[in-house]
Amino acid sequence: MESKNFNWLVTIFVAALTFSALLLLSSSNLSATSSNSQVTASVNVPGTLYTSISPNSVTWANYPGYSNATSTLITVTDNNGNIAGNIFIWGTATLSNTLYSTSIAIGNVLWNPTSSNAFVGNAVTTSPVNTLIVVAAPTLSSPSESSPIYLGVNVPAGTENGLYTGSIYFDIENGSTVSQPTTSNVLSVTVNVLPTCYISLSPTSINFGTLATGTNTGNSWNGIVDTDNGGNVQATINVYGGNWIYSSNTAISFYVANTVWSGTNTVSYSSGTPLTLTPVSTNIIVPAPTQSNPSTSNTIYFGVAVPGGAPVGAYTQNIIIANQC
Amino acid sequence: MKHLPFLFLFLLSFILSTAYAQLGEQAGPLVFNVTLGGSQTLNYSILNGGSSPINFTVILPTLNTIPNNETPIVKVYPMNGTLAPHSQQTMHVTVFMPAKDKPGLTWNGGYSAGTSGIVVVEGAPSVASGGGMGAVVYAAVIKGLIIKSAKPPVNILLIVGIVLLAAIIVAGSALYYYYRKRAAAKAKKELRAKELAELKARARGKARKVVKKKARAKPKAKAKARKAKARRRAR
Repeated sequence: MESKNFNWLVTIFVAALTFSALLLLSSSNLSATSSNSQVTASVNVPGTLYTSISPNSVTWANYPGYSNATSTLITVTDNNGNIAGNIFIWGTATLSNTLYSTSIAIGNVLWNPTSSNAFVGNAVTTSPVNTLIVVAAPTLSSPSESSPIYLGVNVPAGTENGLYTGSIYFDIENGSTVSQPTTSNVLSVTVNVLPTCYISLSPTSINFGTLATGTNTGNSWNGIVDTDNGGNVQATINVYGGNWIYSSNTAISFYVANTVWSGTNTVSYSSGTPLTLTPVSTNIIVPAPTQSNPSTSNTIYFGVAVPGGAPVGAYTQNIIIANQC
Repeated sequence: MKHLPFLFLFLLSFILSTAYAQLGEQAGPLVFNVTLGGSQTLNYSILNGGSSPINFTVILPTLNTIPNNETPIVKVYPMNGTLAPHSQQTMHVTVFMPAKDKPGLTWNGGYSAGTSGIVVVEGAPSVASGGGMGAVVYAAVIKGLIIKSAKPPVNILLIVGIVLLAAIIVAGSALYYYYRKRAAAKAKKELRAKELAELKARARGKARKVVKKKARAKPKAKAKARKAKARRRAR
């Protein structure tokens, strides 16, 4: 029986296998060729950005009408990226207080490239804004690069006291390249608005004119407007004063109670409450200001009587009007 | 024309009187809970929300009085100063509670008739001078106070010391009675042993007498028997 030679078949099979392997390797980024027992590998690395921030939460406490300095440092870091990028910033529409359904608009939060003791910088908006603050490209020797950005907040006048919360987002971007999805680029912001009341008076002096001894101001009252401009709680007006002092001789005086106060100007002098040397509550309320009505006021009225026997001349008195809240 | 300077002064005074000066304070009363003989300090803020500096002076509070008890002493720091525009000042309020007062009492400043809280007055009111029948009006803020007297906190070291002392006394007494009882029992035991020994000795003495008696009686009986035997032989 004649034996058949299949060497040509084995050769074709080995050649086909080698050709297929070469085809497969050349179709991917990673390739390897065998030559003289050496392996050559290559990888194609695209431009990549990552964003993380520190700290991830910040709390500010302040009074309505007050601004915190733009000095709260937030460090924005590209950890393991490989290209430089600019910091972008944006936030939720408001910092909200769920208890009162009131809020602080996000524009009251300012960012600044440098620390400042004043409330200066640029308002945070709801859409991403390029801060032009550059985070350098990480390198093999320095795989983490960061840049600072500073924040502060203004509490609008009349903002109700309580906790207001919201979020501010950061992203490092370079043209169309944005950072990889991450959860550590969100800053949780809490603003603790403290309760307060203010007082400003107008006018700050009363001229009762000329009064004969034994007479009083009758139905003619002099009002002082007590204004709370920007507080957030109501205040009760307290009042007291000093004796009337004779200008020509300070040793001569007549009693403080010759001055009377009233919450209304439609009554006569005799219906007024005598002024005292120590503070008393008038029960006159200056309502709590709100964001929509940040300035509230009320008026306290004064009248005076001059006792018989008071020497001819000018007399003066100190009156102190105090808000208690 | 001669009225022009007065008109200028009037306008100036009007401008000054309407300058944006705004004194404020952090809301809410200061509530103290002070132990008898102790003190407590609380802080609050006064504010200048305006654009002009504010000079301030503090007037101490007037508290109610309680018969047979001393009124707590209140000290405030600082007592005066200047608030820069848009700034705040921390006020430190310290209450000293007399040691002899009763616990559970409450004083207040600014919440009942005849009392007042801490008054912070804009400026420094003094005797006003000048012509006319007029009054100068000062703005102020008042901080109400509520002060409660409390028992001094229990001294745990003292209690531990007392308990230890009591334990030592009890243990000492127990040991004393134990050893005393033990000594009494020992003495009793020794006495009994002595008595028993005496009894034994006595019993031993009687027995010896009996033996001696018996011993004495034996030869007599033998002699008697010998005599009787001899008599029988003689017969």
